[in-house]
Amino acid sequence: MEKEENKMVVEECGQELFAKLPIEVLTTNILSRLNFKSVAQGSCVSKQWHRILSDSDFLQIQITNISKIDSDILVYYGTKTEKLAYYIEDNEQTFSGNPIKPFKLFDYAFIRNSFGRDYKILGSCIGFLWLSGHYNTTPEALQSTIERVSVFLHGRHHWLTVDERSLTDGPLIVSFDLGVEDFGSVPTPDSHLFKYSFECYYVGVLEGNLSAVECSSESYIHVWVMKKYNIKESWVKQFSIEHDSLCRKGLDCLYVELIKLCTNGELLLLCNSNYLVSYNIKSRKSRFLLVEGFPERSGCYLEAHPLVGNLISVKLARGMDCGTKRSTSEKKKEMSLTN
Amino acid sequence: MKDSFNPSIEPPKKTVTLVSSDGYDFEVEEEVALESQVIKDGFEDKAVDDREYLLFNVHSDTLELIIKYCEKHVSSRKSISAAAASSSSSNGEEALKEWDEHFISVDTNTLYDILMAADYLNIKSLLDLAIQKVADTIHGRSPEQIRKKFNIENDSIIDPWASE
Repeated sequence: MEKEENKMVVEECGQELFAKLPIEVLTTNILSRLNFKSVAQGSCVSKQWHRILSDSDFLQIQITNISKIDSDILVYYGTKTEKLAYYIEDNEQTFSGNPIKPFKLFDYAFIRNSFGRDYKILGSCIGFLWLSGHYNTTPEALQSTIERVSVFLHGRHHWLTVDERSLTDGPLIVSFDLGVEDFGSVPTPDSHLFKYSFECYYVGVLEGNLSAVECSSESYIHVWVMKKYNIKESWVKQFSIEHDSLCRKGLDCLYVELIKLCTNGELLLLCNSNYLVSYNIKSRKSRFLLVEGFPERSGCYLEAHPLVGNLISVKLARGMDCGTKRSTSEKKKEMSLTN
Repeated sequence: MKDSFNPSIEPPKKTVTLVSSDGYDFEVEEEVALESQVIKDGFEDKAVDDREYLLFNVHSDTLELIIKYCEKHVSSRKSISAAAASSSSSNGEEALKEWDEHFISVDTNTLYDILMAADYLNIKSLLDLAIQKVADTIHGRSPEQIRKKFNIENDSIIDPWASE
């Protein structure tokens, strides 16, 4: 009885947005836009939240909203003997410190046991890592393509490659649509602008647009952005980064990958597949980032991917609509097959 | 409240009357009202002189905000497409994003009212904006902070005195 009265008082004070919301539609929709850490914390808030967050329907809604969740960063580190994956949360707090404090996700033994020895991380999409299973059995024609990291945008994976049949060796952007499972291509700027061989370019995603980093010049690294997807004329050279500011310990910086624009407003770059740099576009200053637990060696190999951490199991996600086009009947058929 | 005054230079625009839950009339341009999917559905079937909508769930304070949002979106959509037609570069989309961000930076009560009205009127972009705002507010807060912010009763602790 007393409890009932308490509730009344709470409801009258008017601040409690959630008590009045229609649960099924709105609360679920709001909570499905939280990252996995907030989901874990949210389930401790109240019984109602716990019930919503542990419902299997919730996970299905979450997967359709995953593109709206800001990504964090997965860093993959390897030497000849050791391979480790770390997860770095993208928030101001994380990047204010140096070295950055990540959390360890899994080690090589885990991946080897799960996927075999020949896997490779190709990139990430809709909250999952994209792995190639038997890398060595990939058709030769595709191997040079898959060699490069892919970026995920608008339901498609994108790689930079070269058209070996044509005489020019200008770069080519190949896409793979996950919805219809077909290859396509995305236009690059005119060849007199995008004139270097494809080794000089790396694709990335910048604020929801496809981007390309050009590392051809000795004094500047240029960042291109395609302002409107699939429109050749919309490619612009957005900004340039002084080459010297990315060189570490007097070593030349040859390859630059754009990982993401972090919440602190700085660009996270991966240089020479070896070290991370946080670059401030406005002040044109760069910081070399150290990751706690990573040995600082020139020989080790580093990969970084934007990734939305989530608590969705692969089994649940199989055959589900993840923002890619698929007919409902097709989906249902697949769902019933997996169950 | 919005004036129904129209400058005589422009041809008179078709208008729709929206009536708030507390009985105020709002006369808005047809295309502004059509931002709401609920109004849009079955709009053509309604007689021209009967285009009046009683919005029982929307208070005049909220309705004023909703109309402001819809007007802004209709006008900037026009200017964006005009800029695209003349192939002149415009940062209209970015400016609108900034405007949205400013628009939705309101206290929890107003946010709740906007959320409910957007849901009731089925204005998808506004509903999305409001939902994202609430999600952003939750993000990075501890359970205790979330409870405090939204005044949620803590009923998740198992009562140790409860009989089995």
